[in-house]
Amino acid sequence: MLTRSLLAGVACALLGACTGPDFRGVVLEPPEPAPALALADSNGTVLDLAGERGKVVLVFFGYTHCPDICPTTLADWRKAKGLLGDEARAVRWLFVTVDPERDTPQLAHRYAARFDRDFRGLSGTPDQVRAAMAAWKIGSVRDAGGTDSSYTVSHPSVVFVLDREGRVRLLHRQGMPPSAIAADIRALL
Amino acid sequence: MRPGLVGEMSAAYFTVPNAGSDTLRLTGVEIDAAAHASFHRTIDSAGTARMVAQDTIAIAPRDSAVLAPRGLHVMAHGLRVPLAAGDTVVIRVFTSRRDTLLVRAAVRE
Repeated sequence: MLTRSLLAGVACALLGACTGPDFRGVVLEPPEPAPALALADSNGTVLDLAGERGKVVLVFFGYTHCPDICPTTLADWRKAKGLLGDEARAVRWLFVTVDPERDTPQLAHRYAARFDRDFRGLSGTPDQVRAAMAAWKIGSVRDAGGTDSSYTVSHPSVVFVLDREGRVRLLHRQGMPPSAIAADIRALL
Repeated sequence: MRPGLVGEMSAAYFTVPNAGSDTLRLTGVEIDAAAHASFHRTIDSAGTARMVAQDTIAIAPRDSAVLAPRGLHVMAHGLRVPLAAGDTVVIRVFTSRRDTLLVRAAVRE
């Protein structure tokens, strides 16, 4: 999904064929229904994305031992949420681990909630996480080096942005300023 | 430097200028607050982020090494103490001049 979506977004930008709001993220045209994301939070509650219809949902796949990209992304989300004010009530912010061997649902959620209590961290068994990643057509690879506790993981750098109909509508690349993230969300609300 | 709990990862960002006429190489790094520290670069390619360890960081004469989010950074593994916003961490950076640079990094969200 990721490479094809990025290419579709580029084509959309080059051809000027996309209509609608002037999004800052990469626009997926046509938007695709979001795959299931049946993973648990710290309470053991399994997410039902269908239950989030009517909300704008941001999904980021990372891991809690990630020292750079993941905390930077979640810090940007926190700033964007602040810019949205009350409108953020209609937004869901999901941090999904790609490292279930180390990240339990409790750890994933504790990590996400440290940035903002409304951020939700999700994990599951390795098989469950692999199934979710396969459904989203993304991958992750344990990087060479490190130890069983200190390794790093290659993972998607983009944020998937779902519209109120539960479709993957935008991809947010790394480096988008919080004001742009907030503007895209506001355009989808 | 990013906040974190005991045992967690963190990252440090700072700028090292090279005012000299020779290339300066950063050859290693230590942080008392962490069990292990090393230089890494985040590579974001085709929608995938990966980290690549950097044995050294070369700084050309009259240039600077900018360690910043989504790029070069110090990876601090295994925090020995919790780091919270407002704390200060001392980072020792070893160089090819065989001296040690002391960086006092503020912990920020």
